[in-house]
Amino acid sequence: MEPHPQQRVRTAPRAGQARPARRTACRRAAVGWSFLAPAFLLILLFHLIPAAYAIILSFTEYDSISAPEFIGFANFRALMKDRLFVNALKNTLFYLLVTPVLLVVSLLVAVLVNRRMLGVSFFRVAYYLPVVTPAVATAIVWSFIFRSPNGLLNQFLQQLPFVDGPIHFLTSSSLALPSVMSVEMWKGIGYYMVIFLAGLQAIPSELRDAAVVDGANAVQEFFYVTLPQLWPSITFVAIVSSMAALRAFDLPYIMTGGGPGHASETVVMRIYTEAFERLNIGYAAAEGVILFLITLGLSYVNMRMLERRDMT
Amino acid sequence: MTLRDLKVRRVITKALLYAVMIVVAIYTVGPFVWAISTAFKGPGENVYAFPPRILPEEPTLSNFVTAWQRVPYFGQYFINSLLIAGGSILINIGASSMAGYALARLQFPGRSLAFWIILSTMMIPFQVVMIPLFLVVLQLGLLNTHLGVILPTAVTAFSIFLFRQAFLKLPKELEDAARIDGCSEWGIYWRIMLPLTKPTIATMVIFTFVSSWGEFLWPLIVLRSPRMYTVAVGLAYLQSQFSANLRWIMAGSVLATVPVLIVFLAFQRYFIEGATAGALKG
Repeated sequence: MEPHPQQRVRTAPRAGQARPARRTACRRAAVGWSFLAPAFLLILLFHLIPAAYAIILSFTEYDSISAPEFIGFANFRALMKDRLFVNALKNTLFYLLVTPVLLVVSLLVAVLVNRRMLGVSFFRVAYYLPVVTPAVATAIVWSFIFRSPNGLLNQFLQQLPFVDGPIHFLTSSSLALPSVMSVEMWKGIGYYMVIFLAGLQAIPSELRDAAVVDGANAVQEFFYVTLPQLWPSITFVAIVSSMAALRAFDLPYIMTGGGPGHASETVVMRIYTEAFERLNIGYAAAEGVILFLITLGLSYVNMRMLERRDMT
Repeated sequence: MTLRDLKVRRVITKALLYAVMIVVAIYTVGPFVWAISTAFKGPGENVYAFPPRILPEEPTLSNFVTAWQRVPYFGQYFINSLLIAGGSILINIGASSMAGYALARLQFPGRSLAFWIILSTMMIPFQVVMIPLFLVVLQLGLLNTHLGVILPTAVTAFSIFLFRQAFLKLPKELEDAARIDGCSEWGIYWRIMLPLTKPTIATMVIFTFVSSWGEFLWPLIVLRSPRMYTVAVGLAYLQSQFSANLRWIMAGSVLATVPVLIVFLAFQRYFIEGATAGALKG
């Protein structure tokens, strides 16, 4: 996270101004807060208050018609025994595997296009294209690619000698979730590639030159010079992509609807179903609070990794 | 090793690099090519043929026309999405730049507290607050309105943070000169400082456009009647209704994607800047 404001800009009264200090302070507060007010009110009303409200709701039973009823930890106790929720939690944690794969793949892609070659910027644009594509369109196109028996991918695999019979990418309980995750990865590579590119370009060239002079080969240079220098970018990508993985909804919702059965149902899909289809609002809020705690825990681990690396 | 050997090696390396780049490009762009080509294929063509034909045998626009006609209000979805994107952009740029300006250039009590409160909201996943958010929107009478989609997601801690960074970089002399000339605080922000953050504004405009256009879950919750749907929600509806007709669905998906592709290809530079601006804060 950002260290405290490095540059503090003062609007101290200039010499010769005889205005009482108190009135100036009042005026400054009024000016400052009036600039801040619109955004601050929106943040308060639509982020902070709902967050507090979510925590309160998680301790209640509420169906949006009769008043919420306080029931203590009953929702959380029920959740631990709720097979569907535990299943969704497992799926969401499994979804986190997208993060290490994305880290490696997008870093490799960044290294690949981090050179002066004719047409390299064309390739960068081509790799970024999936990032801007609406998730719904992405999900739809990929669900036709994955379709069995006659989707594009199955047609291709059928040409190979060792594949017999179509593979049920989205309709078998073991493959549905990994297939959705592979699309999450397809959509993310470009974004993280750009972040790694910026990180790579910020590495002082003297460092690499020194390594080369010392006789390091390309692989040694990558592991002993480039990688340690990239640590901030790696942490950033780890945090952002794991938070995105925990929030997965659009792709599984469109591609599999959580199925077959509940094999690819994520926590956010559970929250959506409980809150907006079954109107178990307190219960759904408790699911949200658990997701929030996982998010916090994971970010904490990621930050600690960054700090530890800084000290060495 | 002779000089010629070195040269040969260099050529081979280059060829290999290009080969890898092309393979990755086929992976990322292939689905687009396939979707676009399918959307233009005539009814007599086998869209499941392998290897897929890239150029349609009997190219036709009829799939687009049918998708447009068969889905109720498909044209309206585009207007709705544009309205929501436009509203989000205006509110985001307006409110975030003012807040960023205050946090970067004004001294006032409570400033750092406000900054930390705003930053802390970055840690709250939207999906966690969406339930109470729905109740708030319901209370405000904004259910099934475009404003109900816009307001909760318009201003984010991230955009305030980006503007703060942009304002921090500007030299203090500008501000002092304006103040000596008797410029009001608002005038300094609006006429002197804000125009100097144009790159940030441009980045925010296109990022807000793309994310607003692609947003699915929140509009799905807030918008109840098909007339109000955004393109993303309408596309999901199209897919659920006509899942058997690949050509129509591909035509709909292509139509839904074209606006963001145009914006992206026209302003690529800013996408790269915007994405890295986020990373540099680490």
